[in-house]
Amino acid sequence: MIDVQVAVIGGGPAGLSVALECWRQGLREVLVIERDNMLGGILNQCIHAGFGLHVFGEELTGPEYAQRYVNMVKETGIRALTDTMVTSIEPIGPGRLDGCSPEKADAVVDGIIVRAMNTNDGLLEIRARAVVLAMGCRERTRGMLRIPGTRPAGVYTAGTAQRLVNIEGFMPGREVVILGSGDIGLIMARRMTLEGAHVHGVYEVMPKSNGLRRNIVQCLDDFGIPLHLSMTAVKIHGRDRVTGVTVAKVDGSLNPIPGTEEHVSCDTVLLSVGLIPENELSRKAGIEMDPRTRGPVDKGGFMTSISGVFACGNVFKVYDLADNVTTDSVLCGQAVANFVMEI
Amino acid sequence: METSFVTCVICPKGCGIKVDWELCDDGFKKVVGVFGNSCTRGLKYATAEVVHPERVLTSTVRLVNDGDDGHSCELVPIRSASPIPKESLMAAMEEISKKTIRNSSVKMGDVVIEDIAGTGVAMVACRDSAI
Repeated sequence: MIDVQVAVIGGGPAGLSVALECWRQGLREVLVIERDNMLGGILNQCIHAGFGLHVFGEELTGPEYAQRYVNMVKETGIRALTDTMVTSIEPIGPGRLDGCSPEKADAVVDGIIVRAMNTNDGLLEIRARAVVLAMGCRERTRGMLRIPGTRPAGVYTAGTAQRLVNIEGFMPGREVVILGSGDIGLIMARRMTLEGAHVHGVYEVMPKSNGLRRNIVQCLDDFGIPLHLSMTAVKIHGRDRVTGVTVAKVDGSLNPIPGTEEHVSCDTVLLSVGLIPENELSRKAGIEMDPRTRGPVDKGGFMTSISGVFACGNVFKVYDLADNVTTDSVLCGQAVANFVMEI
Repeated sequence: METSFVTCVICPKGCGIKVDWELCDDGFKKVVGVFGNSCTRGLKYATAEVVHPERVLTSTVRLVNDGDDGHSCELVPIRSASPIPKESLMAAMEEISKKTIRNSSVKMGDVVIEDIAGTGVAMVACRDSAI
């Protein structure tokens, strides 16, 4: 059993900012639990520039932004467990106090048990006065779009392709079609082009891209990649590997217009069609969720429906900018510190 | 006088900026007015965008140690220390693809390539290597 004041689940921009703010507010037992092998979260694969203008007043890449936070964390006594997966969080009821040593029992009446595992320690039980959910979000997948056709290899979410290219170091394909014009899709259009792939185009079902304007300029226009608005994929072709996509124009109700179908040959399809907060842990713990944001309901000061469990960053609602995640997470950190110190 | 419209790519705001310019006798463009920018970074960007467009280039380099089979090596993200001319991007990528760091570790800010594609700009590491 590990006893801490605050356990932060997730070591990305939200988790690191919360942990640092808790430390700055005077908490000394702060633990960050990260499932990847390094801290920084999704910033590590976002190697493009454009981060930090609000927080640091200069333009940084994702890894630089992350490294600055990692360096700040290293200067404190914040503990970090990497390669560690949290499997459940559970508020301590009266029955949960059985195993505690008597001198500690008073301190944990309102505590929360975090169960996690890794290959060194096996199963870990962490007892925390407060838990911060900072697990971020996940991309919508092909299954959620219900695109008809076969099930060949070569269909990736844009973020998966980003990880393959920028961290794992290999190209998922050469002839690319991108469905959806979210920022990650736009950024991957440029990245794949720079790495020698041919991006045929970006197809957006809505009449307007929801990506940032600067990304349309510097990722598509710079490289002559066409953006097709009000168009969607109606079929994916290929047996073992993607061989092409049928795209079609859509009407005002987003339904494909018969007769407008075109075939685009490609070996790879990237999906950039939205993000969903990753709340399996929250749901399992019985936390009340907001059906609109798909994140936990904010009961005031970033606290969820379970006393002592907070949420911040993309797990709470999807942000456009990492800088805004940091700014809000600092506020969350202050709320967490106040909560812990009042106990 | 000519007018160009550019979208600033410096920050997420993405200001639409109007740039008035003239073609000088020596073939260079001279900016005579910039409108619609919200900050001085935008002024600088819009001017450069008309006269000679530049971009920050980011990519990765392989960090190979003895014993690595070349397929399981670490990638270190790198960036150009400042924007480089847009027409040099592909030449720079070509140079980066041939570059590997051998048997050494890097720290954020370390120079990985001193002069990328003859631009005079260095490519620097964006984070510490794991090793």
